[in-house]
Amino acid sequence: MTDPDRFKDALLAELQSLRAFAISITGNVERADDLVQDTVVKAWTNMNGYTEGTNIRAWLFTILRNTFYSDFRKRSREVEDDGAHASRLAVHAPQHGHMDLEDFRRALAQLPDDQREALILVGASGFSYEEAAEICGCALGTIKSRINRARARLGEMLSVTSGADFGPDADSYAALAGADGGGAKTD
Amino acid sequence: MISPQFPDVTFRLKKAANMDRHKPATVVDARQEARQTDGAQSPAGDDVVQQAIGSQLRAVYDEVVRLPVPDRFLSLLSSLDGRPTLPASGKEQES
Repeated sequence: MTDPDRFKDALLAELQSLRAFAISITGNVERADDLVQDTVVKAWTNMNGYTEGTNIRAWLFTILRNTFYSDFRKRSREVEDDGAHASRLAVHAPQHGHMDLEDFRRALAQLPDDQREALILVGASGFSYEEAAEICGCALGTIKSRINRARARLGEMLSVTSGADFGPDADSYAALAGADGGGAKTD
Repeated sequence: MISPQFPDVTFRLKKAANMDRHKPATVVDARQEARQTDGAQSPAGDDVVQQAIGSQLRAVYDEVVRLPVPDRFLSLLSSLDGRPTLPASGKEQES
């Protein structure tokens, strides 16, 4: 039985991380916030499905990701079409964002969604390979190979594109979600 | 001056120009450094590049993690009690 007060504190503590992950898979702050809201409500409703002592962040990320792929993505796709480009450009680097990182954001955006997701989970969110595999519902080896390919590709792109002149509207947050604004496209 | 066969050699960015700023090492820095320390194209050089990629990834992601959480989530959380109801998600959040 999960203690509601402790559970609520834990939810509160994870909001920032949840939101960052949501932004990284939706590429859009507004949709990310809707996704986080759905996730928080689902988590609260199913709190007894959480085993105390296990990694609550991984548990929440799994809910968030499943929510995105099961219903959220379909729903948001319907209203997205025409607005996709505009909304992506509206989401810029934070004022304090490092312009030096633009090349990297651009390169990250060009990764296939599944590779970028795996890389972010392990390389930026601090999950183990095992946890990332669980969150993504795939085999450990799949996560490892996605990350290896992502790193190799980034290494190539950043070697080649360094010094290239990127325009002022280079994607930023959106870059975390890919050039197409999110989704599970693998190409 | 880009030579496809030897991409490393074409980068002349000065590491010094980046050293005193608070930012993650770039891949270009990393390659430069690798060349200086143990020659071009070595496996150790790849490690340095991967470290640069790792630090830039964390820097980019941390900028997003540090964004302030909107009040709507704090209200949502404080509205949760023992008998959760399902608020409609979507456009009409209180702001």
